[in-house]
Amino acid sequence: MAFNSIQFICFLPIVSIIYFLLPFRFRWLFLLLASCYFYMAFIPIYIFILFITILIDYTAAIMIEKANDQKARKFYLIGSIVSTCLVLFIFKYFNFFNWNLAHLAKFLSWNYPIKALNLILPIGLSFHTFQSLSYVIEVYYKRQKAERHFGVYALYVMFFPQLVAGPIERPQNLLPQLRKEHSFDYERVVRGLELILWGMFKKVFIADHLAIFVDQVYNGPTYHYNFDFLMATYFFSFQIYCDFSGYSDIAIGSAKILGIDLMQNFRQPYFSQSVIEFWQRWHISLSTWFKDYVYIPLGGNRVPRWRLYYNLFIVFTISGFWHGANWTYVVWGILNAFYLISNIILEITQKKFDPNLKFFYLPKIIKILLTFHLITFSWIFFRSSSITEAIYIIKHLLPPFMTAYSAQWYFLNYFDSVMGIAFLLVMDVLISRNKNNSLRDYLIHLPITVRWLAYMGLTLIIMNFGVAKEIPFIYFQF
Amino acid sequence: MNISFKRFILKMLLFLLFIFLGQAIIVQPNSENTSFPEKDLLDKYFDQKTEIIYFGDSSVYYSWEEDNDKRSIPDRLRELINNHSVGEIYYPAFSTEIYQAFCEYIIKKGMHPLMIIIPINLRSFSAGWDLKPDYQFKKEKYFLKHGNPISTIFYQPLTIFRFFQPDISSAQYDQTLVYDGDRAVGTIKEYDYPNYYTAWSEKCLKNIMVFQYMNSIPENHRKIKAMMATARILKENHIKVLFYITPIDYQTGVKYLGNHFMDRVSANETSIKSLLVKEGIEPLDLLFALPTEDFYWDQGKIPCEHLYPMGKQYVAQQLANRMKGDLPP
Repeated sequence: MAFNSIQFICFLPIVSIIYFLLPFRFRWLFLLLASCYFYMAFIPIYIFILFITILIDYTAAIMIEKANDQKARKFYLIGSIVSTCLVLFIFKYFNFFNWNLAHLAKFLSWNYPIKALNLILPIGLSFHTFQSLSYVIEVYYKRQKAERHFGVYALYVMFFPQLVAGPIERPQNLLPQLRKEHSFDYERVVRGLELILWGMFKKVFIADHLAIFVDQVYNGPTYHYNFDFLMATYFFSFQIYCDFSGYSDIAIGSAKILGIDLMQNFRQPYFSQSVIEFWQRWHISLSTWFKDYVYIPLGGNRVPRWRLYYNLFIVFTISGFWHGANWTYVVWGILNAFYLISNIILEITQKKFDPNLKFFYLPKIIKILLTFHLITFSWIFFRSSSITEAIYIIKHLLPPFMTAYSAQWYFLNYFDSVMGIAFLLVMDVLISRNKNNSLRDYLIHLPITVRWLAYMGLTLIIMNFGVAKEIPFIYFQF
Repeated sequence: MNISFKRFILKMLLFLLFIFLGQAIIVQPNSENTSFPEKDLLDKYFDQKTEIIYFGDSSVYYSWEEDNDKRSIPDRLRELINNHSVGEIYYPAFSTEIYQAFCEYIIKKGMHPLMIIIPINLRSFSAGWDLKPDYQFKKEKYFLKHGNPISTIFYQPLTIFRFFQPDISSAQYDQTLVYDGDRAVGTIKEYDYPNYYTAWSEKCLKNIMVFQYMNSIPENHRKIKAMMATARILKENHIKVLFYITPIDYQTGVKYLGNHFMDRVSANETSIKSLLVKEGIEPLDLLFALPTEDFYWDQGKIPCEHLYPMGKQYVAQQLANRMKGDLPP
């Protein structure tokens, strides 16, 4: 069930009301059933794949906890990781490797008989695989006790607001909340609804409007010209932000209504002053996952310099590959690793040769713009369907030729999109000025009339000026 | 239930009321929000007191671009029964479910045409037609059933929030099984046409014939149910109906699949006919009436039910012959 569907708009209030009316002891079961229904609205049969993953990791965690020696603990951990990743591999990566091997075999004139699998990727597979792995790894490091209640553990993986596209939660944050009784809290519910409204606006109004032009250009690059590529790439930067952060806001807001706090996934990432900062503010739940479970076990930053760069390269390459089974994502990951390593080298050089920032000083706005453009450039690989296409777009990106007439044409045709981006930036500035970086903290200081007018205005804009065409959430494909 | 919960519910109701009023103020009711061209056309026919309504899919009007005579079957029929007016309602991939919705709309509006003509295209029962997301006509069916001021106000939000999206996604459609009789032979992804454009072969033609016609058509098929419901409501409301089974390129089917093709298609034909006969309706059966030469293939590559002028004329003539006895002089 997509968040931007009439089913979800009916589903959430019904689930919330029943949840608060039910006695506490039945709530976990009800939420689990609701989550199953939510997931089965996509492809019902795939609930079994999810169930298998849950069963494997539930059992593995208990075995790890029960095992007396380190060897056995490691054995169960590896067993769990391999079997969970195997499911991911079959559905997401098999055809990619198979395709590449088949081409290699053809190049070497070898016979390659293995056929591609005809499977649809279960929705959100990468997300719940990582959430499940996070739990087993935490149990292995003894930072989390193994959950004995199968239903509660299943709910940890399947909790519907974050089931299909995160935020990827940690057991220490989510499991205790699932066991706790939450009573109806007016303030919390309003906070949740505000987030949902803001998330819907970002997705249905801004991201989907931007998607129309981006899809036109990126789905048929040969029919377009320089300025189209430039505009489409800028638009995509905002589209992916509004699409994914909109999704996250709806997820966090929905969970908040039920009394559960999910981790923040975005903190105005396009106001970052460096790529390092960007990755601390973009898809935070995934970045911290890679940091905790890949980067730190590889040695983190307490290693020789060359090894640090190597670690970063590995983490970002895997992160790229996590996004999708395509070389474009791998290149996107490597490009970001390159940015990050360059960023670190620059910082070190600056500290060594210019500690007082006499020569290296750049105004804040320039740093923000520079970071934004570097990230935007990397999105070209993320959005293109192949490396060849990405290179074609990059080659034709500059110099952008635009007449006054075409500028006017763009502005008039994409007025909604431009206004949407402008409004988003203003809101992000206002939200970021708050101590807690929260929308509610900004809104609460407004007079009630203004607040209600804002709610109504946003709702009516979404209802009447959203995009009617079906544009799925970008991160649903991962 | 605590006080804050009640307070919240009251505030929510107030908010929803404001939204409803706001929506009613900003949305100007117009026909685009409650209608679609074919429904408007039907309304127009009844304003003009049109006697015969002819529903159909692309096979009743598609013409090869080089045809000199591009008249549709209803155009030809109009000429053959020139003392009666014929109004045609057609669109590519229309089939029994949307015809049912149209007929229910006719009844609801209190219209009473002399006769309704409904083609039964055997291919419309195949998974490739029945389940194709683009062929679900959810919005059109909704408007025929619920075209009222409330839906006018909420048309845009309902569209934005996917109310009119087909229940089946493209990915699910691609994974749907294709059957030869009751035996699954592959998925739609493997059988649907676009794959054939690059690698055309005899195998492709075999696959197309399987994909289009070789599934068995059980009594509980939703399109059969729609056909039966249409027959019933028209009968109950004393509106004459002429169902006819549209011609298919059976010679190509036999060429590529042998007698197996005839056995399967004949079984489906018998099943449809016997169900209609049970309702007291004798359909006009033109299934095997035309040779290959009368069909023009889609893109010149895909066998389908589109007809050259000779074929269209033949169907119109057969319909006219059959209608003579049922219409007043």
